[in-house]
Amino acid sequence: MHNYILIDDNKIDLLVASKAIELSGQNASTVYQFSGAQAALEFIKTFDSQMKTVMLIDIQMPTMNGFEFMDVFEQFSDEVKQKYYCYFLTSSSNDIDRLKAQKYPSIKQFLIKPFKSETLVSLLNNN
Amino acid sequence: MDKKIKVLFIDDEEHNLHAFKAAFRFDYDVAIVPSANEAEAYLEQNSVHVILCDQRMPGKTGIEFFGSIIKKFPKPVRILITGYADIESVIKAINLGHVYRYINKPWNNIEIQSAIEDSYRYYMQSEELENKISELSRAYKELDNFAYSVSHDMKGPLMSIMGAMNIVNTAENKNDKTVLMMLNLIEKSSIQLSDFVENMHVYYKNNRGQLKIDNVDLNVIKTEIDSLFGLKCLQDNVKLTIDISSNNSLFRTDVTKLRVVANNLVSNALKYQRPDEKDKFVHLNMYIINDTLTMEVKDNGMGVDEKYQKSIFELFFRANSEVNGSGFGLYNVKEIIAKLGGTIELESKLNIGSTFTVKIPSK
Repeated sequence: MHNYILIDDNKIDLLVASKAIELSGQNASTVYQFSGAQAALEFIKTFDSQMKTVMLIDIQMPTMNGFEFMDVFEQFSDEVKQKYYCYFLTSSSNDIDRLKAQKYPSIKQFLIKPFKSETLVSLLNNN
Repeated sequence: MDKKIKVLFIDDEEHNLHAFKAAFRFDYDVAIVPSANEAEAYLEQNSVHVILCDQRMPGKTGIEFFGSIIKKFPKPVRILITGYADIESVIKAINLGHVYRYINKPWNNIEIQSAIEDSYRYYMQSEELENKISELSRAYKELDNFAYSVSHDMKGPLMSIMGAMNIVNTAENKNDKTVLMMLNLIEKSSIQLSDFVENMHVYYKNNRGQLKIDNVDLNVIKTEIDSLFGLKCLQDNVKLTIDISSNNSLFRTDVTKLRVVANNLVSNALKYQRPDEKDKFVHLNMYIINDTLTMEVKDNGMGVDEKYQKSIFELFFRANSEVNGSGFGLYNVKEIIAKLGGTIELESKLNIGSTFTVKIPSK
């Protein structure tokens, strides 16, 4: 079982991803949704859980984008970071974004929307 | 020609230098120097359109001189003056692109004059070409950015639709709550995408189109806005008031463009309301004084954080992650107002409200 943190300014995509999680049979997990990256950072600072947390981060967001979010996240202690499996989830298949994503050691994969329950299952099997 | 052509003449014979200067100093801005070295020193300090150089000089020949400055001073057009039949080296120099023209000695003034005029024309054409190329590469870069943002913003809603469809397809009972919810989301995403395409069309039209000036009655704009947003105001519980506070309501401008401005500002004011505010309002006031139309759109909505107020008119900028904006609206508004020769200003406080003030002169 895992926790989930979803960060996306598009509320529809938040709902789609949380439904996909629900349908994947992981429905006992807790899903935290954020429509802004700043709020998610605040949450992570105080969040404490025994379970690992899967985090899906959109890239193009107003005020703080996914890259800026990761810039801050990578500064957290290893003790905090190792509790998270981080993924970019974006509608952009842009090569520049993809290259930029490789700069972040905590990012496990670059996922393209739409998010599907099959994708989630295969991600969790790899962890 | 508004400016004199700047000519540099190089010859080791003093008599020729003075003869040249005497013949052309009224027509052109003439500088004369007796050697290649001094010519280079002159070029370091001054801009020159056309250089005329004698071939036979002690030290460097004219061709050697042209060859040596071509990297450092590529712009001046080079004319070689030669009294000798060293045609071979002249041909070579022309083929290397070091010399634009050559003139036989003894020269006559008419020949020199036509060579200078020709060279100057060539200079101006090259310069124009260079400007166009840099303009073009700038536009190309902008286009790259534009294509990136547009494809992202069009793909976004489509991916939402596909995600929702995916969940609908995996649902066992096609009538359950999840399915209905997803169908609702699909509709919302489709509307978002269609709005985006519409805005992109406005963007394109404004960049290309000519102004179509017509008479417009502000009362017509008032009625249009009322019927366009009336229903939404009822649904969202927002009080929309529209006033025309001058006796005169007739104005000359591009009506379609004015409509886009008014629609965008009112629709934004409605969109960025605070849900917990009890007396939500949007107030549009228009008046004409001294052939200038002022349009104020005031609301008590979310307002714009001071740090974003400068950026909200930029293309694809979004200051809010709670509300789905395309990042096109205010950019289009600003560009259109600029085309109409007007101005737009924002006065806003976060969580208090915003007032946009547009001023447009009558055409």
